[in-house]
Amino acid sequence: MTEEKKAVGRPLHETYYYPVIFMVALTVVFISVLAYLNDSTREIIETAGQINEKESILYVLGIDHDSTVEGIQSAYEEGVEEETSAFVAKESGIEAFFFTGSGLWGDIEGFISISRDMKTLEGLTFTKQSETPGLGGRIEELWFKEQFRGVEIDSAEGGPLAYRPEPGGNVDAISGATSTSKAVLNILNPFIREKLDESGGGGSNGQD
Amino acid sequence: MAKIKTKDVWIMGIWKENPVVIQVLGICSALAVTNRMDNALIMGAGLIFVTAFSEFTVSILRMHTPKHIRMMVQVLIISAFVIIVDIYLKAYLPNASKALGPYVGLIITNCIIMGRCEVFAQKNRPAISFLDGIFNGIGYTLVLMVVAFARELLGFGTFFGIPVMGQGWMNWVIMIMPPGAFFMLALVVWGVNTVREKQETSESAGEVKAR
Repeated sequence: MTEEKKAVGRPLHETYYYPVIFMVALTVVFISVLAYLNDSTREIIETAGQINEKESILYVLGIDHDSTVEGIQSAYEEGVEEETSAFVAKESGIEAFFFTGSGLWGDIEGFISISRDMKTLEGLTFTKQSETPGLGGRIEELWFKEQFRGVEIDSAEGGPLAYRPEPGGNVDAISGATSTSKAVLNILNPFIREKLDESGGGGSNGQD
Repeated sequence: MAKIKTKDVWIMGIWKENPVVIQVLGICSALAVTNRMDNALIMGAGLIFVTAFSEFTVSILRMHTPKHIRMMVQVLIISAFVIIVDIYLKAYLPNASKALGPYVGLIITNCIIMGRCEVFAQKNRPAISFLDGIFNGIGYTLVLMVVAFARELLGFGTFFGIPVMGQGWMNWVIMIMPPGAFFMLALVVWGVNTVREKQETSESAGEVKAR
């Protein structure tokens, strides 16, 4: 110890570079552990994500299924056909589309389904959102999503969707979560219009 | 410094110096995730895990950590454990992970963890620091559970998601909204401190009599 002291001038833990070395070493150790954990659970997380997505598609297409993993898999394989831009219910012909856009804090992603004749919305669900829990996060609650079922697409001015009590309002916003509620319609309205245009201009949105 | 006994650690963590009702730490998450009991329980479990292992690691490294960068080191350790919790929830409890959303990541900023690392783990041995983390986590969890119990019961009419209030029950929507959290937490803090004060005065009165 004394010899070393003479050689270096002062003990290692008092040198100016010791904190740097210490911090770097510690960071490397923790990062390695985290990288390993992340890598070893990636597959599980991905499978869970796929099941989640399939369940969402079944939900917006209105297909009944068991809530078990096997139930979701088999109902999906039996009832859903994957096309290039949409997921189509084999029986009813309802089409589900993936949408994405910006919410209040982060991206909102989800599925929306439209009937074959492009006249009614059949369902809506969100697969990813990071809105304020308990406020904007309530867009994931059933009461909010269910009110989009059966909404006639050309029923509202400035729509297709509008919140009550606006003229032609057809859904309710979430009180206390105005920004998120607005964001949802700002994503959905242009998206629905686009889908209508693609399908050859169903509905009454001639101006766009 | 006097040697700290295990018994002191749990009495301090859960009752005498309860992190939420006495020290008023970790209030942000205590307000945010207490609208349902299952959310509160998972949040509490996450916090117990992170606090215990962070304190343990900080305590092991306390002799080697340069004093002036100890806070950086603590934050690094805490965030590593929080990410572990986040990965675990995503992989094995995806629904819970969804329900808690950003609050899992925000465990990092929970003052209880850094407070205990700084106050306790920097000065004590690893084993007792680990216990201190566990009991402070339990103290936090208990308060969350009490608040969540009242909020869920009144706001949803349920207990852990099971309906218990019967058909005629009208949900108190205010209880599941943020103001409900403020009311309930304040009532709990008030109640606990009143009880504690009474207990302390009767204790000191008892001591006087004994003399």
